[in-house]
Amino acid sequence: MCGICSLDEMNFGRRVVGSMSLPDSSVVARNDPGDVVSDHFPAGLRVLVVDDDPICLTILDKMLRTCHYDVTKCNRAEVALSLLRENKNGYDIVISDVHMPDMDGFKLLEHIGLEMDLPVIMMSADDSKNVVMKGVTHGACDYLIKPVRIEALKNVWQHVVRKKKNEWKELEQLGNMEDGDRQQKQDDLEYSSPANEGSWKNSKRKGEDEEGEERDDATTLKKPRVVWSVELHQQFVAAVNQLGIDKAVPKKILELMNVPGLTRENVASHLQKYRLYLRRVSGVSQHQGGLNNSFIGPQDASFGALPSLSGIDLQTLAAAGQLPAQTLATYQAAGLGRAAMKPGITLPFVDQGTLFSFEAPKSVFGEGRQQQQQRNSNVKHMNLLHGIPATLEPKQPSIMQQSSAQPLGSLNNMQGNTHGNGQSSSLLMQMVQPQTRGQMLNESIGGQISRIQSSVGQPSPRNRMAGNEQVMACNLASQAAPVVDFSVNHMADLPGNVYPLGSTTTPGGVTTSHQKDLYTRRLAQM
Amino acid sequence: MLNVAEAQEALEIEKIERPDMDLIEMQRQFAEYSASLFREGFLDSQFTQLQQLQDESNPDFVLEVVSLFFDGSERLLNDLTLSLEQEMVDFKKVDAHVHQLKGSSSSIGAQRVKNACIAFRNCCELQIPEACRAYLQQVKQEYLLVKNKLQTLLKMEQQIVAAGGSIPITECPEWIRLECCHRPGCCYKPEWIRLECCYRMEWIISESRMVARVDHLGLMLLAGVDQARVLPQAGVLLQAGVD
Repeated sequence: MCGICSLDEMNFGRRVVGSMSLPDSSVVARNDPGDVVSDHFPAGLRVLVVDDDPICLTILDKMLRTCHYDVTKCNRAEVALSLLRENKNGYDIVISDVHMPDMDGFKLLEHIGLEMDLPVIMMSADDSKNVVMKGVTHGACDYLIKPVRIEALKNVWQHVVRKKKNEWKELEQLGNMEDGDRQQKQDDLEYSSPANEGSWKNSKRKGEDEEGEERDDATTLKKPRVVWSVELHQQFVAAVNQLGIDKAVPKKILELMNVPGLTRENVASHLQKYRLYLRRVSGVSQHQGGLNNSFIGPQDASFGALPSLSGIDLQTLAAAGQLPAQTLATYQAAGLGRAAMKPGITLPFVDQGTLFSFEAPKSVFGEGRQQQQQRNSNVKHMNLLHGIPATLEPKQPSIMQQSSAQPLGSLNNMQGNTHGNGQSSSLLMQMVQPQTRGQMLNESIGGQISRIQSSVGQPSPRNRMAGNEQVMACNLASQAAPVVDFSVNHMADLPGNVYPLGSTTTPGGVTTSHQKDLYTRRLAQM
Repeated sequence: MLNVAEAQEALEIEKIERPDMDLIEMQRQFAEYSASLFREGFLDSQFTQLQQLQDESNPDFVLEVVSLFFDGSERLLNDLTLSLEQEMVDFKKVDAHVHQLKGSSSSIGAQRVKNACIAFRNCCELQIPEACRAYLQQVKQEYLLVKNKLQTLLKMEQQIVAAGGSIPITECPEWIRLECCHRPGCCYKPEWIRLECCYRMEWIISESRMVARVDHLGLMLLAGVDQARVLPQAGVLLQAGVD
């Protein structure tokens, strides 16, 4: 029939389209897994695309097929998850929309990161920096703005390769660190990664018989996906701390942990992530605002973990430490003051200052270990921070009021996600939080700490309309963009459930007695 | 001087010699119609992408997607109408719907619908039902317009296909969008364009050969330029993004 033609014959002088209309052949030799990717890569890349909008889904599906990918489309996140779970090694990469009715795209992202550790690309019509940053911190390997063009999809295979390569590299590095572990390395290289084929493996192997066998194993037996449950992670961290972070090598960690079925490379990759997390966290600490530094200065540097409540750390924690999403949400809620799923549990976190250390998971289950004492010393510092509001904001009966205000929580979340700046500002926001909601909007939109710091200690007008005007005024002063559009667009780009204005919470403060108790308890601790 | 009969005969001969004259004519009209839709902002380059995705294995792809768009949008618009008629308007739901409509209209390249959705969402933030209803009306109007245009376009496409021809693809012009206060619908071809944002007057010197039009949101679109240089009157730069 007719396709799109190059129109030269029409003498219309229009564009040639030829390159796009390739025959739709997603036939790849799946029967021989060893060949699949090396010969035709990236053709046959197995993509799972999730989007509740049928139009986008259809278009994406077609685009991906045009790129010769092997596409599975899915319009519900739950279905996507079950597909992934049923067939753990059946997909190479996931592309998911952010706004979906049954499950938030970021939540799906977390699940996938925890359970399957596949590269995930987020998509949205939302291009606000906050949401994109959220994608980054949740561990998405890319973020596409809708409408997605086919050019953007053509190169998604790079994320698959990159991820596999990184994992190989970390294994290699860790392997090099250990003395006399060459032998053991071979056993560990059961990994398969079609993209990172024989050359890597062969260079490591010492030409054993198992070579051929391992290759079969490698291709059919893909990387064992271990779920790092909270308990497992606790054991891991305990082992690491016992050894000392510098001396912790996978072999010894594995011995200490003494978990049957856990392999050295599981530990190795987890260790890598843990190290990255620590690095990130300590790197971030240097960017904290001056106010913060004065309080966390005395802290033991080797402790690494920083008392930041920002969403970034918690989310990197999740990505790195593979915390269950639920725990993450709990931390976030506690740390950022969003309405938690179980308020009774989350608030005590803040109480013990456990948010501020990577070992936070332990405290969830109330285990007392050596580290607890270390943490307690942290707690003092943290409580100092929390103590500030008492002096600076005498009018605040409800530091924890934020828990009831979901929008603010989300704002805090965004705030935390914005910059290094944003982190300290969110910390400060914890203290001076019940300023005007409007002012909160200022922060989230303008992202400027100075306003927070300057407003500390001032009685806050509780008029959200005034706050709104302030938004405009401040934005005008500091930014060039046409005000209405800019600020409102940012608001518009908040996750769907955020309504900073006219929301049900009143500026007067909806403080539950529970929160009040908590506040008094914390005060008492100081 | 040919008489009528001879004229008719001449025409017949011409038709035999160039049997696909009608087809060429149809294609020309199609191309021109497409170009006008792009120019007037009804469609953007995303639509071109869809046309390019259509091939032998999927000859009705555009039709399929457009139909999905019609169905989905009408459903969303109905839901929106109902939501806004409630006593207690659930703005969260309204926003979610509009976001979805924005997403699907942008995926299909229905630019004006997308822009109307953006304006609508901005209004949603203020949570004023009357204003939202007004913006919803605007979205509906844009939707009906683009529906009409697309149906016409697709019909023309069908005729071409039926006549055995292939569908010409039109390039979408690059637009730069800048804030301005000029009346929607105006078209300018000046060397100087005066833009007024909310608080300042800015002069923009643009390249020659530039065509500017103001779209329904009061945004001035400059075509044919990579970047508009701004002469700052007071150091305020307007944002320019390429569509």
